[in-house]
Amino acid sequence: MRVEEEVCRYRRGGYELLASFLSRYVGDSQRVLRGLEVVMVEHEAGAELLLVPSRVYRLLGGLCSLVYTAGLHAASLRRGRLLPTLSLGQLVEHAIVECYVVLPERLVAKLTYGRSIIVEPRGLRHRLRDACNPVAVLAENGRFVAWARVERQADKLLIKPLVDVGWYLRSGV
Amino acid sequence: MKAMTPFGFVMADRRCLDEKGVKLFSRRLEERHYRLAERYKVHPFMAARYEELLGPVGARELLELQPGDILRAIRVNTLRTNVDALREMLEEKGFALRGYWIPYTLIVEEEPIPIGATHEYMQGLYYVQGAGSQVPVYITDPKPLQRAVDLCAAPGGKTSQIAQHQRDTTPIIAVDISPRRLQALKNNMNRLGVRSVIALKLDARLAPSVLGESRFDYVLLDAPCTGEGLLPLEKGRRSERRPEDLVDRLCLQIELLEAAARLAACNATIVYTTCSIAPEENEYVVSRVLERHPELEPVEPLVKPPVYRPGVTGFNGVEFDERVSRCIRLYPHETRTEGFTVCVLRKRCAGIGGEGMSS
Repeated sequence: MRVEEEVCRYRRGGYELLASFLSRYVGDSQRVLRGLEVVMVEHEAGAELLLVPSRVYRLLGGLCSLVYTAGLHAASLRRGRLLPTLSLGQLVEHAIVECYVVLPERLVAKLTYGRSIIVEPRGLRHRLRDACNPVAVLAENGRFVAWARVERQADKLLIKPLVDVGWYLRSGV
Repeated sequence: MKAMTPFGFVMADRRCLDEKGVKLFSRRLEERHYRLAERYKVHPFMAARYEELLGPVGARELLELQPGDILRAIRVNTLRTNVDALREMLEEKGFALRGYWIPYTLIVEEEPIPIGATHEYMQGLYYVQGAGSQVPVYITDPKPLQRAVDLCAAPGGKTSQIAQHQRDTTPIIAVDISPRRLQALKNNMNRLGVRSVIALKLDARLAPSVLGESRFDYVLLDAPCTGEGLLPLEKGRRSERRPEDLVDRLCLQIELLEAAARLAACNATIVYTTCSIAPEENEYVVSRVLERHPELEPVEPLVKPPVYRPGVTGFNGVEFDERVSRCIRLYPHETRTEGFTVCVLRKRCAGIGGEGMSS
C-alpha cells in the first residue's frame, strides 16, 4: 500500500487552524495533538478535519479512493470558519482550562435535547471571556457535553448549543 | 407423516449448495413438528430443525423465551473510563448493574431510563451491546500490533471492541458495503473516541484484491445471517423465518469466509461468527471452506465462556468436518444471551509467512 499523497483526498492539512482553535481552551494545544496527524478532506461544501494516529495516516494513501472515514472527525471548515465536532470536545475534555462552563445534571439534560438554557452564572464553575465563542460545556463528571454560544443577558447567561452529545441519539444513525 | 422434499420451498439462490447442502435442506417432517410449529408460530421446517439441534425440551425452552429473559448488557468503553467508575455513575442514577464473566461487561438489571439514553452513553463511556455479541472478540483477544481487519464491520460494535483490546494503538481496517451503516460506524467511532479505524466502503468479497493477500494477523467476519440467534428478542419476526432465508445467505457467507482466508497472514486468527445458531450457516459454511483451504485449522478459542456448547459435527444426516466441534455455540435458553456461533480458524504457514501490511 503506497502513500500517494498527490492524488489522495486525505492529505495533511489544517494543523495550524486546529491548534489555534484549541489554544483558546487548552494550555498546550500541541500537546493535545501529539501523536496525531490532522488530515483535511475537501468536498463541495467545504472540508473535514480528521485526527488520525501516524500509523493510520501512513495507510490512508494506498486506500484513498475507498476510504469512507478514518480516525476522529475533529472539525468541519465552512467558508473559512472552523466548526468543532463532538469528538474534538471529547478528545480535549480533560485538558480544558479556559472558555468552559460546567453544568449540573438537570441543565445538561435540557441541553442534550438541543435546547437553549438561561442560567445564573453564580454557583456555576466557569471560565468565560468575550473571545470564548464557542464555549465548551462540560458536565459535573468532567465530560464534554456541547459546544455552545454564550450570550450575557443582564445578570444571566443564555447558553445556545451549537452541537451537543444528544445529537448521537437524535441523529438516529 | 409428511415429507418435505428437497427444494420444497422457494429458494432465491441455490448455486452454492453441494450434495450435502441439498441433503441438509431436505427434511422429513412429522406430525409433532407441525404441532410445535403451530404452538410457537414458526415454520414447521424450522421447528424440526430446533428439535434436532436442541432436543424436544431444549426446543421448547428456546421458543418460550421472552425478550425480557435475555440479559441486557453494555460494554464499558475502557478507552475512556473504567468499569468501577462507570458503574458508580450509573448506580447513582438508579441503575442496578452486575458484573459478568467478561470483565468489561455490565449486566443491566434495572433501568430507570433506557440504558441507551443516558448522558454517559452520549459521552461515549459505553456501548449497548448484547452479552453474546461481545463473546467473539473477547474470546479471541486481538492484541496490540496485530494487524486487524473487520469484514462487514458496520455499525462498528465489534470494531470498537477490537480497538479496546488493542488499546487503540494499531490501525484497524473496517470494511462494509453500506454507506448508511458506515455512517453509523463513523458516529460510533467518534462517540467512543476510537482513533485507529479506517472505514472502507467496499464489498468485503473484494477485500483481498484491494488490500492484498496474507496481510492481516486478525480477521473478523461477523457474517450477514438470518439472525436466528435473535429470535427471543424479535418475537414478531419469528413466524417470518423461512428455510429459504438460510439458503439465501449461504453463497455470500462462503464467499466472505473465502475472502477472510485470503486476507489472513501466516499464523493469523480468523474469527467467523454469526448471530445465528443455524448449523447451515455456521459449521456447514466453515466445513465447505475447509474443503478448499487445507491451510486453515479450526482451533479452540483462547478463553471459553462458562456456558456454551461445542460446534455440531452433523445435522439432518449430513456430516461436517469433525474439527468444527471446536466452534462455540451460545444458546439463548442456556446462556440468556442472544444466540451466537463462533468458529476460530488459524491459518497455518506454508513454508514462508505472508507479506506484512506496510505501515
